[in-house]
Amino acid sequence: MRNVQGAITIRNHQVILQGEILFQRDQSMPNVQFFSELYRELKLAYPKFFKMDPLAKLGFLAAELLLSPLSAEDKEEMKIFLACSHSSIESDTMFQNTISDESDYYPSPSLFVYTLPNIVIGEIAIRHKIYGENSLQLTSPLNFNSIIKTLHKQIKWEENRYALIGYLDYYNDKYEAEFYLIHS
Amino acid sequence: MNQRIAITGLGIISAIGNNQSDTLRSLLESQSGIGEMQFLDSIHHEFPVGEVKLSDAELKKLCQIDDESIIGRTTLLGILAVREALKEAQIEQVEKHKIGLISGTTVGGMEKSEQFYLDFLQNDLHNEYINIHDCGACTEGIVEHTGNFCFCTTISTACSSAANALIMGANMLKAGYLDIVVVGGAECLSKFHLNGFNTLMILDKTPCKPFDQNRSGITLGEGAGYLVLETEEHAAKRNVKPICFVSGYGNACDAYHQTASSPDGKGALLAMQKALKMSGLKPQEIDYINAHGTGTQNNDLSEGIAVQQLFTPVPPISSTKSLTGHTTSAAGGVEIILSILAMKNQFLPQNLNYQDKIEELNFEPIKSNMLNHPIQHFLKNSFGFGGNNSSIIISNNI
Repeated sequence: MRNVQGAITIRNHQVILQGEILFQRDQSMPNVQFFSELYRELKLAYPKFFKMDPLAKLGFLAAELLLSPLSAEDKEEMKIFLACSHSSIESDTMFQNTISDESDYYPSPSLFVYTLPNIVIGEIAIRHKIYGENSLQLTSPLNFNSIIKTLHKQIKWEENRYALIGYLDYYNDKYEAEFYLIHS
Repeated sequence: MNQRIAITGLGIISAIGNNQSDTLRSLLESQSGIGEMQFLDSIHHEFPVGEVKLSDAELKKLCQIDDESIIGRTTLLGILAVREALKEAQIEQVEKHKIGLISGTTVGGMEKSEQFYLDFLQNDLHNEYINIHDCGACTEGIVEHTGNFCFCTTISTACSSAANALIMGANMLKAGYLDIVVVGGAECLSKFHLNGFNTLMILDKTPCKPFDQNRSGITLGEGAGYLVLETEEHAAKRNVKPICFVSGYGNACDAYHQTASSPDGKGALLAMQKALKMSGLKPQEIDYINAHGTGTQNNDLSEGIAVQQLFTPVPPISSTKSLTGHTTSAAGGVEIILSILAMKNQFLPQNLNYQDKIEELNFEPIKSNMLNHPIQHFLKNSFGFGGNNSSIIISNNI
């Protein structure tokens, strides 16, 4: 891929930024605890993080590390194109559990907010004040490298200077994020 | 090479009609499809909804699909609309073309999962419905019953999904990846999102009143709307006359809140500005705006402020959600098609249930159908949770 200025992967409790291991924890650690420890390691003061669902936490952390060197101007018109496979199924299930049983019926607005997969893009955009084009594509997990390439091609002829593209997924205690910062 | 993106086929199903001709009749007569729920199995009958007036069994019959097949309502709605669009575009055999399907949905097969959720946990009676739960499975289900598309993908950006499917499809045509692309969205009602919107306290107990000072929320609807896109050159080569053209589009992030619009409508304004810039049109050349206009306090004020900033004076504007209900992920497709039907029949569709002007705004929506009113260019807004805002400009074929 051309014009790649930064790359990050977060999987198996290991954060690799620009090819180097930045942070890791034992794989027996629960995912959400791993996300919290990474948040604390980064010394972020953004308490809204703790209200996010796991998918949004994952995307938020990956974007945080990749975008922190950029200025506000760099980020303002940035595009965000992400793909995922299992959408917001984790939050969907939690919300469904609140409405399935008539004797224990308590639909939760804070859970419902995260039953949309593109909320992760919204969280990244709110954090970094990114007003550019954004889209979330749902796709098979089998071949996400080609999806990232397709996303890359989709931005090639756009006039903006920066784009954040990548794949993330959270399902059944398995998670994965692979983000790239593109500069044209 | 002429890169203008032509629209050569339309397919629509919603609360106001099962096809284009029924829909046009309802639109001309301002016949709302909103009423008490008949098909959604929910206790919340206090909320009117815009249901498609067919049961799943009737939809299957219309689709000529065996009553026993495992298929969700979203997929059935999608199949009918995609077939109608392909027929109008004179595409009889999908596999003979380099053609893709890009479909927006967010509910997917949820309405079947909630029906069988306790079974999934307790027994194996309905496990086959798990396979059709996800949004991608809906798109694949549509493909299975409409033809062998060489590319298909699903966009899930909440209520702007169908508009973003159009943007992605147009981009793929311009980049030469596809010759023809069917774009749009499908969404059926589900308890899941009815409850969800209710927890956010943004559902109206009366049919929604977009742009009214006393508006009190959304009326949910369901439906599907798909458009066939191809370059003007490709349509000419196939001897198919374009219905109209996609002349501009833009998407921007509001970057304000997960589910609420910013008070200054920044994301909406940016999306409309981008669409205008691509089209090369001046704001005064837009003859009609089909607003996102959900009927919530927050959306209509924020969208109205953004529209006012860009348009002086504001052109005729209406929210047709007052007829169909908010078809969420399908809304972009459904409402672009409603607007195209109005454009081809030279009238401006009414914004139902409007009484009083919003105090903070300087315009009123269209109060009754304005007949004999040509539209050369219209702008369609579609905004989704996550701050995902899209605007599309469609131009008449003259």
